[in-house]
Amino acid sequence: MNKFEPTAEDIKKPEAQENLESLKGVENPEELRKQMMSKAEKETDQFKKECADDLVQIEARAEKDGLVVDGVDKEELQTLNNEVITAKEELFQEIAAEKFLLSESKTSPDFSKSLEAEISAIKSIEELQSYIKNIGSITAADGYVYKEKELAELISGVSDGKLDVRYITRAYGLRDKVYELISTKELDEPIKEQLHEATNEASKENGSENFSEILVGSDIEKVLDQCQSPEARQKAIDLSTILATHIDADPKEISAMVHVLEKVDFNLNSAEEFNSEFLANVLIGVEENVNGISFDSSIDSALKNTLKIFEKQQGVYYHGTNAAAWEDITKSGEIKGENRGFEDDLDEINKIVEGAGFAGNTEFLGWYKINSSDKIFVSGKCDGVNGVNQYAKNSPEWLNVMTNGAFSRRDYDEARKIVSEKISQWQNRSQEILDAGRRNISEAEADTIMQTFEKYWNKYGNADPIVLKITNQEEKVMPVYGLAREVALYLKVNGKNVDYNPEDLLPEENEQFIKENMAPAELRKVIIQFLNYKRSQIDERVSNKSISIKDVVHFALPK
Amino acid sequence: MSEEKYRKAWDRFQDKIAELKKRKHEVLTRISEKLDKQHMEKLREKLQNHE
Repeated sequence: MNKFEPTAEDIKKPEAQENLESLKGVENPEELRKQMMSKAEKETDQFKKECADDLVQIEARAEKDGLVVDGVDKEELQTLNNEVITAKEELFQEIAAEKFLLSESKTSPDFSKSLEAEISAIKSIEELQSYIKNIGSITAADGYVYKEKELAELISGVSDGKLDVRYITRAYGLRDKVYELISTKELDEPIKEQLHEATNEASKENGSENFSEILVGSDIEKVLDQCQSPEARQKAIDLSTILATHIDADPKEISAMVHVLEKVDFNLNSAEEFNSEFLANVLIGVEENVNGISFDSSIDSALKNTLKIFEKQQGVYYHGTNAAAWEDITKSGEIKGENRGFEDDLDEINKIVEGAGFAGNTEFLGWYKINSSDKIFVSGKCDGVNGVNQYAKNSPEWLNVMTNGAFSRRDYDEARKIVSEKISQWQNRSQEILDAGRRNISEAEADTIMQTFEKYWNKYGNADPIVLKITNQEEKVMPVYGLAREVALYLKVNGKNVDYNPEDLLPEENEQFIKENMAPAELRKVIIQFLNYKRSQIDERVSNKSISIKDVVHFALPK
Repeated sequence: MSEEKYRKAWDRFQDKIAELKKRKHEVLTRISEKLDKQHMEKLREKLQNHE
């Protein structure tokens, strides 16, 4: 096996403390600042070097064994490189911004904060106009005093579409507030109706009317109601999703699934890890319930249950997305169009961010270029953190990256604050960074970024996460062949020399081979091995051309 | 006061470095797992091809 041994130590907290210790003796703040910058420079270079060295080591090992390193993972290593540069830049900015902060403290910070908070809480243009009338005037950062009448006219002009929002001063978050008030619109209700119709059609084509609603139905709600904490609830949602996507759209199977779920106490820690062993036992439990036979009673009953599980899992993948994307899918009839509609806008932002020399554009926009290509990322596993549920909540990933995860919580205020802060940072870079050839982004560029954020929040902000089950992605073989192959692999991995090809044999001969070599307990292990293999199929990139909409079932997720 | 702020900024930088190192390790582990998977696939193919 290709066990990786990193060239560098894992988490370097001890060294971090050592560095801090070494800086403790420095009394002169300016000297301290210089030393910090020098150490940060060295640590950044060291991290970059380690990334490069690790990659060289991995590629050498892969080449030796005739294997290929995933390009996406390689790109992620590159992202880490970018992020470390950004972290250094931020540190430089923070310690260089000291003078500015000190001079600003001569004004009245409490007054500023209270004004900012009051403006932030305003919900309409009318309310804002009334507020401006009450306070009388606002002083901009450059000292210009905006009188009530002037401000009222400017706000009305922007609100009526006659003036650009840049006429409004940024002081106390006023411009952001005006922009927010004029650009926030309700999601188009007819779209939701169309989506619902399309969903039903897709379900009918799969012979599974209402199956896609199973996770938001009353049976699962009862299970979720037993959960005493958000963590327990999340575990229940995760396991429910796993089961729903592993069973067929059949009332008997749904009833068996609910029965199994009712037996799990999600408030205990014991079920927190949905590893392959746990999942195998749960799936066996469902099959025992559906087929009415105990797995362990004989090799025949174990084989029957195992074959069912294999049959249901052949060529199945999962994908997490959102209801707005699903609406695009059902409209176009393609699992994913080559162009999702956001490419041009994000290219524009990318140009701005890169043009300003900011190293972390991937950090700001995520993998939008890959996500908008004609491939989709699918997963062979369907479990909690990092599983498709998480993908679904984070979709579209670039919007979640842009908002540091606030999108996954659908927290508009927090998301907007984060984007504003990032923009503000790029508009007020430290002298050192400017001297290094970078530049601040302009007001117009800042507005472009903010407008793009608003535009897509408007589309995705109310789009619920959904999970897609994609079937028929492999050529189907008789389950007994597939199982016999897994059994042969299991025996080989466990040191038995097997000279065996299931396809040379008749189905009954394969069955005989399994029965002769396996006990029920071992077949459980074969299922675990198979599920491990399935679960290792993460982040596969599949061409959208190979997926037919008829092979897709979607599941709405509980909140 | 300045010194305190510098040290806080430094702590944040160190936290970020630690986080990046953790993530790097996760990526490297994932790469390793994927290579393992490819290795297993090769074994599967060999079995299938009767080699």
